[in-house]
Amino acid sequence: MSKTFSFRLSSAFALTTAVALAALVVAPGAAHAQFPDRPVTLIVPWDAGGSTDQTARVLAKAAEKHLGQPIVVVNKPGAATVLGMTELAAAKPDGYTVGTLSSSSYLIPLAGRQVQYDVEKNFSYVSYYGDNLIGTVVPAAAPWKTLKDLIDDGKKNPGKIKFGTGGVGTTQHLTIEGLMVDTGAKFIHIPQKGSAGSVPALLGNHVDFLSETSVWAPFVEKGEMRLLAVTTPSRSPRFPDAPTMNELGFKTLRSVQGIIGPAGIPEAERSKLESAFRAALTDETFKQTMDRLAMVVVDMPGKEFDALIKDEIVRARSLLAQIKQ
Amino acid sequence: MFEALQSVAHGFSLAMLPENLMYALIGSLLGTLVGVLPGLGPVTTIAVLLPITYQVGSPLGALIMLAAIYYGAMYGGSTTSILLKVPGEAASVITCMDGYEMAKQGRAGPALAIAAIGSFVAGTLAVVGLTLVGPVFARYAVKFGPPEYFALAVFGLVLASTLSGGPPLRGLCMVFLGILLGLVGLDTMTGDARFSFGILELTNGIGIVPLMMGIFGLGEILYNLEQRGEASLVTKTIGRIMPTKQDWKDSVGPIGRGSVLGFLLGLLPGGGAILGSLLSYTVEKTLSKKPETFGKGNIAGVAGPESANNSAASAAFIPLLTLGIPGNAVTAVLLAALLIQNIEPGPLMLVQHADVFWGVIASMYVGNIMLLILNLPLVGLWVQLLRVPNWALTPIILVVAVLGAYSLRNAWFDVGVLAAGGVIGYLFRKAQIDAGPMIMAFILADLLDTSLRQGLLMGDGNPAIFFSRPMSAVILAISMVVLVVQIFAWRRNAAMLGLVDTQKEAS
Repeated sequence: MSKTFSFRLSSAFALTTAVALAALVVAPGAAHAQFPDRPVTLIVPWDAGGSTDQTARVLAKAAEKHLGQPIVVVNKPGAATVLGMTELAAAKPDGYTVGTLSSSSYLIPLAGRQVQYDVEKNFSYVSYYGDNLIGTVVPAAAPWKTLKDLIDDGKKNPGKIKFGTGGVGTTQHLTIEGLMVDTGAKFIHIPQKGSAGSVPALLGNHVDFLSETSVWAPFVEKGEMRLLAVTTPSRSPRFPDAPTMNELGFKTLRSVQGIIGPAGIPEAERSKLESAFRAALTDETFKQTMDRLAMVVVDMPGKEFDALIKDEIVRARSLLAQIKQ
Repeated sequence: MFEALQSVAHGFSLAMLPENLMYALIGSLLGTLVGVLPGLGPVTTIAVLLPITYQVGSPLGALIMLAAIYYGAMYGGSTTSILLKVPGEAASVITCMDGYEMAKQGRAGPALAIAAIGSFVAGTLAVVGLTLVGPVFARYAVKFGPPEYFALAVFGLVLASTLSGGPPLRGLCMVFLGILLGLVGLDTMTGDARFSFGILELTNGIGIVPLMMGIFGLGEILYNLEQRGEASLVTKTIGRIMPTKQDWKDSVGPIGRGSVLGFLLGLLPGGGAILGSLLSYTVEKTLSKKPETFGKGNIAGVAGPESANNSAASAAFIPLLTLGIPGNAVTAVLLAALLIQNIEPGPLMLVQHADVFWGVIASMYVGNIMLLILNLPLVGLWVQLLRVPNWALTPIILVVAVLGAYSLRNAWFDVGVLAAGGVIGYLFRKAQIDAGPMIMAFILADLLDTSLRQGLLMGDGNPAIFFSRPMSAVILAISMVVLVVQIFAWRRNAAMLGLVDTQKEAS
């Protein structure tokens, strides 16, 4: 359009326009050489204030120093990350748009809901940053002292014991479904409205136990609730007495937190982002934030992160197939 | 009790420190501002300010400021509801109904003044309640489980279906429409998308704020456009600013009841300000000797809900601070703010961070006084807004509503909801249908559905659980009584109600 327009103008003006156009054509090439030359957007597919939002914000702040450009956090919440992930998958793969990945983003399509992205194909993996601590907790007055007690009771009285989680199809929920498949115990799931809804459900004895992210932490510390087991690959430094489910002989799904972008980010840009985000893992504020949420910092290159997710998908798919039987 | 007084005295000594007073003032100002601007609610504001709280010296200062934004927004939220029929934030949706009618009758001043004074009284009463019984109450509030929430939702719906003055069948239809719209989105129990027609954004449900801004604000604009030149969004007569003696008399009861109701609902982990204002409105209408004047500018319809949403906002601090349970989106962001300051709310809060706990509570007394002093003179200023000519005011409302809808979730979809709401609102207006019952049902739909099914799971599929637990049984029994009384009243007054309806048509 600007071409036809400039023909009608004086030649001097046309020349200026041509120069300006030429500059515009050259500009992307120049920018390519010195990525990033403008702020990077980080899409957080959760509400402001949640655990992903909190950790991602401090991580982004720390990564800015290594990247040399501001990282702008934009919340695109809705449908348990599906809305944000759809937008991220469709973003231009130039490295200027990245986002956070949570387990929900791949568990939801695996459970059969239609989404417009494919986790295995539509994303570039930048870097990992940690695992959510998911624990099985009971009220202090409950008779079960260990996870085994709970499972035995669940076998003896199938369907009598009820448990709460933040929602259907979450890692919290699938953890217990996996236990049931492995042991033959039978528990009844009563989904709550998000992790925040789980705590009053247990305190008010509306459910018998919880499988939940660390919302229970202060209650366990005060002795009002008992932590029977955690799902992280290793024991939590904050709750060293609680065994991991792996130790007890159960394979569990991980609750991942990492940085991803749309598929096709050129390797030069991707690795620049990876080094900035991985360098940020040593930031004091970030480490404190993770610690406070009882999350475990995990440093992992993008390639391993990619492999881990593919592995998790295989495991979740087989678990879901067993549950449906 | 003596211990509580001692603690609160200590809290005052902290809250009265010059820097903390300054934070309370900044928070109150900001809160009033974002409350007035539709869409830009306290959630967005606090989330945006979160990173700044790192720089605020003390955790107490940061929390005082953020808390003041929250309850400040509850004061400000009523302003645009009353003047423009555009709710400033979700809890002020109910205020649109009678507040705007009052403004049309040239009584915007008294409506705004009563909203501010009611908010002050309720806010202060709630803080007194927090000081005395809050920490103890919170432990009992968790006993309120799914069966009780279900009973509460049923009670709300019974009141809602009898809310409109028109034929009961019409009210009932609107209630069902509201439930249908409210159930759009993911099913909490199964994770399946309901009524989403494959539209991704709909799996997230329909947002209440864009929908209400559309039905009320946009609907009103569209309806007025039809009236051509002469039409005006509101009457240009401003009338007196302060409430009359009669206004005071009519408002005392609603403010008192609204404060108590809001406080109790605010204490419940799943309660909150919207539910508080909703129930207060229906209770006032049920108790009123002239229920037919509700929706036509009854000051009780402003005084009650505005008091309730304020005391609920204050009471919500108890489950937040002592249990770490955020009852709504705003307290969820406040929870994040606390965590950033390395304060973990929960059972240990009163032990580990008593200073912060009592400091914040004390600052709320101070903040409420600041807000009253700030808001009363503003009433005179706000009503001047009505002098702005229509050709300027209409586009301004449109722009503000669109910006507000977009900024909620950074999504264009919500602007679409706003537009669709506008069309619905216009059609309702044309057909003289009262949107009230639909809105109540829309708000209650999710609570009704989730708590019913959670309750059934708890009772192994046997609905007896709803009648065997004392609290839910009592609430359900009251609902039944109200329903039966309403049916009889309607049958007896059918002729009179018909009269009311023709009057409505004539107006």
